[in-house]
Amino acid sequence: MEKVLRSTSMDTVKELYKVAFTHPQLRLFPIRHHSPVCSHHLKKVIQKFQPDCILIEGPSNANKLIPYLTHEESQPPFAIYYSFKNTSAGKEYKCYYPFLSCSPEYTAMLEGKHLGCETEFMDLPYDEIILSCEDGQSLLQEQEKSSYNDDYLLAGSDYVKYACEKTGMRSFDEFWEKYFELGGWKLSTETFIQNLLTDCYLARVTTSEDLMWKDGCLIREQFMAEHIREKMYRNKKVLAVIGGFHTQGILYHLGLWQETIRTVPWKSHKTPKEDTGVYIMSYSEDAADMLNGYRSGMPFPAFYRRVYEVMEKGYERPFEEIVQDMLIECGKQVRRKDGGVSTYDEICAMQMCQGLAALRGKHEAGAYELVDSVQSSFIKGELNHISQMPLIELRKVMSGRKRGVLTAIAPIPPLVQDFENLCKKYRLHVSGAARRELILEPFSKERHLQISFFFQRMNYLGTEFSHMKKGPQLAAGRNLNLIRETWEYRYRPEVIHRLIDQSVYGGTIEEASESLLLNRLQESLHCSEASVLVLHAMEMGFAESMGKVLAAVEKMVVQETSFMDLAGCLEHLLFASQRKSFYKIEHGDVIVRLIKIIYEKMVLLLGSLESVENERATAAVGALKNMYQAVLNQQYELNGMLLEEGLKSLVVKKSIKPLIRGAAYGILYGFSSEYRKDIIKAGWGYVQGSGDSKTMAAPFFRGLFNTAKDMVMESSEFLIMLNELLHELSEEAFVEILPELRMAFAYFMPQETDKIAKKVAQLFGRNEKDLKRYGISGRTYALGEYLDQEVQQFMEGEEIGWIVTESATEMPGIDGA
Amino acid sequence: METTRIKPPMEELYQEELAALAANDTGRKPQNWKLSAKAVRTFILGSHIPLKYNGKEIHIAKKFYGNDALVERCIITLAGNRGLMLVGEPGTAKTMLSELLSAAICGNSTNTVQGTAGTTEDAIKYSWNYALLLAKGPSREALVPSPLYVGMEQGILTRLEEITRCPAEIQDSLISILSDKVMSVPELGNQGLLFAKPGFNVIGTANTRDKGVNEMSSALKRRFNFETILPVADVALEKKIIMNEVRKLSLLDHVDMEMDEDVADLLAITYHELREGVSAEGHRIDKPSCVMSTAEAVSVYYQTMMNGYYYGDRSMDVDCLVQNLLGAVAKENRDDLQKVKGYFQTVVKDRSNKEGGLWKKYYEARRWIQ
Repeated sequence: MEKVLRSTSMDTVKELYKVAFTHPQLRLFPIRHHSPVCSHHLKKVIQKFQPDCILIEGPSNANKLIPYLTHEESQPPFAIYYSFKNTSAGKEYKCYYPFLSCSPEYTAMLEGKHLGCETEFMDLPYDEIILSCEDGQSLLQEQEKSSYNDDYLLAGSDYVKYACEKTGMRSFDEFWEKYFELGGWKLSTETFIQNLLTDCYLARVTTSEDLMWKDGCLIREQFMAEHIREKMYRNKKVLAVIGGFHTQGILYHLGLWQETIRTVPWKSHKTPKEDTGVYIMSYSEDAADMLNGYRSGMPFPAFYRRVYEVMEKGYERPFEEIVQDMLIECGKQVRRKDGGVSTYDEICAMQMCQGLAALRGKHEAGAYELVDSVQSSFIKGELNHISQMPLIELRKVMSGRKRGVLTAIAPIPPLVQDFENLCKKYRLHVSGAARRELILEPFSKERHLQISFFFQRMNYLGTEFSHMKKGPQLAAGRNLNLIRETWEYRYRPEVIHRLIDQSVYGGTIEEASESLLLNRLQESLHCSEASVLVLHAMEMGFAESMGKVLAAVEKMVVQETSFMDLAGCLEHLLFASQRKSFYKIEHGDVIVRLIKIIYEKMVLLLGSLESVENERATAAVGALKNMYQAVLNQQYELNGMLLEEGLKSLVVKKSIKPLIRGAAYGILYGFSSEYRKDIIKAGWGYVQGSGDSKTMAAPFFRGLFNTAKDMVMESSEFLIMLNELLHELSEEAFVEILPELRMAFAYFMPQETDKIAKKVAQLFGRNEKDLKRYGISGRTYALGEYLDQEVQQFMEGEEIGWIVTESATEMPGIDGA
Repeated sequence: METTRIKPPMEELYQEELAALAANDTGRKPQNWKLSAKAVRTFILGSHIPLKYNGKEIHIAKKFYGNDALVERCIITLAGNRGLMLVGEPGTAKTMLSELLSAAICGNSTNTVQGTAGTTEDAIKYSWNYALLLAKGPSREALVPSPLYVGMEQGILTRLEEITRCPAEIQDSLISILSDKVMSVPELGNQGLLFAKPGFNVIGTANTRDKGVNEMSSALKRRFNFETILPVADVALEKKIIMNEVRKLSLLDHVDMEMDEDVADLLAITYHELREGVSAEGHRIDKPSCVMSTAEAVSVYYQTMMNGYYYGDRSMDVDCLVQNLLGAVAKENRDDLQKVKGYFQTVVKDRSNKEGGLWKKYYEARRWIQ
């Protein structure tokens, strides 16, 4: 690396500048995305060069959106959103290309508009970029959000790492700020460009061609050069705004540079139009901040935007101006939350900023001095997750909260349009990002039902726009007794992004969510998963497509061989049947028919419960109960005898779990009290058995009491059984079964527990009052109160303590106190 | 040559470097500073470019690793109105940094108040030579100045080590001194006001494991800028620190023995993993409750080195290394030995199987863990 820096190849940079910047028809302007100083110099170059055509590095399938970006009513930040569905590979891709007011690309577009010259994006269309990258490279790198901008080529190069180490910079961003932003705007444009080309040249020289090829970089440079050549051929003066890394590559393909660069054969993949999407959306500064996990270019968008604004106004020291402003704003925010930062702290912090700038050889204090000064001067104590609040507030101030505005005539994806229309229709507040609450009575008011459907659909689309705080949740089987729904909703730009993401499914919220639901049905689901979709369809009000959903569920039920999956399906369909009228679903007969099919199939599969795992035994008991409840409901016209016969076979199976056996016996008792004898015999079988069988009595009773607790109430036989069990068990074994026994008695109501206590007392010839505890008696309470007062008086007399006393009263009937 | 002191002060240890920096210093100096802020920075963070002094090339070595920006902030703080408070876990080089700053800025790193639970206001401000006091009455001659008094009088830095160990009311006596930069000596009547000279400032240190800075009053906290020194996060850097510090110690003690880089690497990895609670391979490790600082690692290495030099064959004995490691770990809580045992039984064993060599010997030395 040292060799490279000292070698005579530095002359190459001068040559590069000459070719890129003095050609009569071409200016190749290298930039860093969102850089204010690049915008500053670019403006000057455009005004001096007066191009006929401005070409900007960006996917060319967004050219039609440029007029909306530069419209008078539009204000950045905004972003171009690209999507591509690779149907052959079954993958979807998307990326964002943000623009801030200080972005050189945006400046180029505005200047192009003022000049009245052609302004276009010149890079490969997004789908072609994706198809030309290797997995894990460039836009195919796994990350939370994908950005079009390719600053990583510069920032990640070996040269930059070396340069940062040698100059003591903590990151490329700090390096960039010191050597380009802070002093760069005062330099002549020629000097600035030469410095930048040096940086880009060195970054490129230390990057392997292989990496550039895998990255798709070489193909893109070929394509962009072709675009430029075409304009130059028409005798146009062309100004091309490019990421500086590409300078040599593009010049080579234009025939203006001697160094040989690999040429990659390329042919368009002719992606169908419906598989690609490109939309413009308003954006926010904090979303554009690279530190939020999004590698867009420079960090701290609000900081650099404000620097650019004052720079353009002609301030002598624009960075320090904004540093001071942000220190004050940060101080205010911290005081609001904590109150621990004073004006003097701000003064000290400002002095720290200036001192650090001088020490670091910077023209003026910048973003990194600002952060350092807040850390040093605002945080009083050890830096940890509690004390770092001032840094968090500063970060918010430096990132910014500004939201862009798009002209009203900008094309909006139909899905977003529908969303906005519906919000207006339902009078939902979406002008700010504040959370709002809405209480709905969907089962008594039609309008509320429609709003509920809307919220459910928005949820299903994964927009995170709305969230049910309280209310019936069919799919989860919770709060089904509630008739009101409390919703919380909140608008954020991410809602629009997600809607755009889902716009491939349809043009309206209803269509997109329904389509998504039906798509989900195509996946290989178990019938229990598919039946959840029935509930979702109900919650979203898809009365018309319910038929399709139920047909798909039926198909899966026919193929299903798992008892537990069928049980899950049955449970969901029972919910659906019970609540269909609330949600105005008319397929009641189909649901009833399905319930019957599932029931009969489950009866056939009852034998499989012999081998069910311990962890699923409780769920199996629930399934049996549901089957029984369905039988009792005459609406379904189910043949109870089938279940009875099935359970009779089940209970005699040798290796059935005692919990399930107990529950099955309880249900049989529900069919006929003649099973009583068998149940008692089975109970004694556990209690009087040898070895581990005694401990199995507890789950047996638990299962039995779950489904037939009235057996205990009718006679004392089970209590006698339990008594013997408790006598027989060792202390260790008792402790082992205690949790199960507690659960067994949890099914009884307090009154029933009292009755059981009475029976137990009678068994041992005792009074039930001996067993019952009613808490403290009135007499005991009165004694305690009296003592408390006496002690307080004594302490007051001795002037001990601070107890506030009420006047003591003599308690009647207390002797000797 | 016999060394006359166990630990010479920084200004003596780096006398030549400081002189070279002073001779070549063209930067602006805050009032009464021996060096400019840039030169102080160079002294502590080092430079690739040697300085010419007295016909020689003097290389300024890097002395503090891990956070250059922190050092810069410390320098700027000391040039301003506020004191500097260095906080962190024990063994993170707070004292070393405060000594380096003092040596570079005022040429005196020994003007120190050592904070303890028994520190009184006399130790912070001044006391009296009672014989002289009785003989001649209150006078400057009879006054025994504290380091803080000396710092104010001479316009140099005063170091307050472990300031948070002092009782709160003693700490609070610093408040008016730090804000008004004046100390009142009522016994001296009209002459009883000592105004601090330019160049005076205070560097405090506090370790977060003991009392930390929680008991410091808000009024006193506001008189300081705080800098938290975190343990070294990079294993390679930790190894470098171990090597550098041990080299320095061995030079002072004339322990003429080559350093074993592999052992330094092994020790750095051990300390790093036990401190972080996770191995390089992702094994979760029970963290010992004791301090696993780089300073401790230096100490363990150096002890092992001395053992090899005086009792061995001038090589690093892994058994001895493990024994010294256990000695360092066990000083607070014997349960920590079990955690080290667990570390050996999982991570070290795994590495011994994969890499063999030194790791294998290291694993075999686990027999010393009782």
